[in-house]
Amino acid sequence: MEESPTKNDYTNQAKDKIFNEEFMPHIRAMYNFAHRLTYDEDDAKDLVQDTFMKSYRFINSFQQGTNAKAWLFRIMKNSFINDFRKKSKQPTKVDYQEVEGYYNSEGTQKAVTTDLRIDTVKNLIGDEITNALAALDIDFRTVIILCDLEGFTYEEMAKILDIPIGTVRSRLHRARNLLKEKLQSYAQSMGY
Amino acid sequence: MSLKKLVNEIKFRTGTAKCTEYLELVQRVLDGQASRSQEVYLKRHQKMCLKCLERFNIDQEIKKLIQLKLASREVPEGLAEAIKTKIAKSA
Repeated sequence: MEESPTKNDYTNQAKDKIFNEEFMPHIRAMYNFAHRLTYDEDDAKDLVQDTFMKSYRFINSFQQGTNAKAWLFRIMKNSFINDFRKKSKQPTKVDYQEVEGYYNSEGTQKAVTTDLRIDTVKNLIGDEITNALAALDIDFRTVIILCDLEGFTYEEMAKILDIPIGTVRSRLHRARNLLKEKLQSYAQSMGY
Repeated sequence: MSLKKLVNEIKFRTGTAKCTEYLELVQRVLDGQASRSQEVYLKRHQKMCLKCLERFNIDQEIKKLIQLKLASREVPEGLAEAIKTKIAKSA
């Protein structure tokens, strides 16, 4: 992706220019992604700081003019998995053999059949959608964040997450079904 | 193109695909990542299948809900400066 097989050799001036002009403008998106991963302000700040430090350290692997935001998100995702996930209170990893097989097996490739209706969905408020998303396993939550909130393409997501593009699509499909199930249960409990 | 993709393409083109087979197109169209012909195939199917149309509308509404209702947080004051200071020290 944004990593070049041949390393660059930027001058200090060029490094600072790339960092300030191509990396720093994404700080808000980075902070929001970090917060949606950790759900803790201090952890989010640490994760952002850690990501930017790494981005500077490995800046010679970055090709100027390529997608800096995707490159930074990839670093952040890896940092989170390696350093932050352990202390995070999030559930542990899901069983991917079960999950990734889900989309491709004949019997299960169906839309989730909830009783959700358009008017019900329109009545849901921010807190409910926030809680439903937070209740998803981190890996499912991540694909929804990257696609719906950050607008990455499937191809960019595959590179950020280090998974095949088909897996991106199936994980997203599964994540959305799980989210719908959660929203459905909220709607029922609210008496919509 | 794999054989499976080719078969699906023919099914979509001839309108013989099942509702479940349109799920992938639903997601691609929803995410703005479908080809022009995939959009046409899905729209054509939705004209004949209200259930699929309703499902698409709900998915689209949930996507909008996520985009509109999830508050974007401001970057904590001093974070950008702290990062720049740390970088300057490490350089």
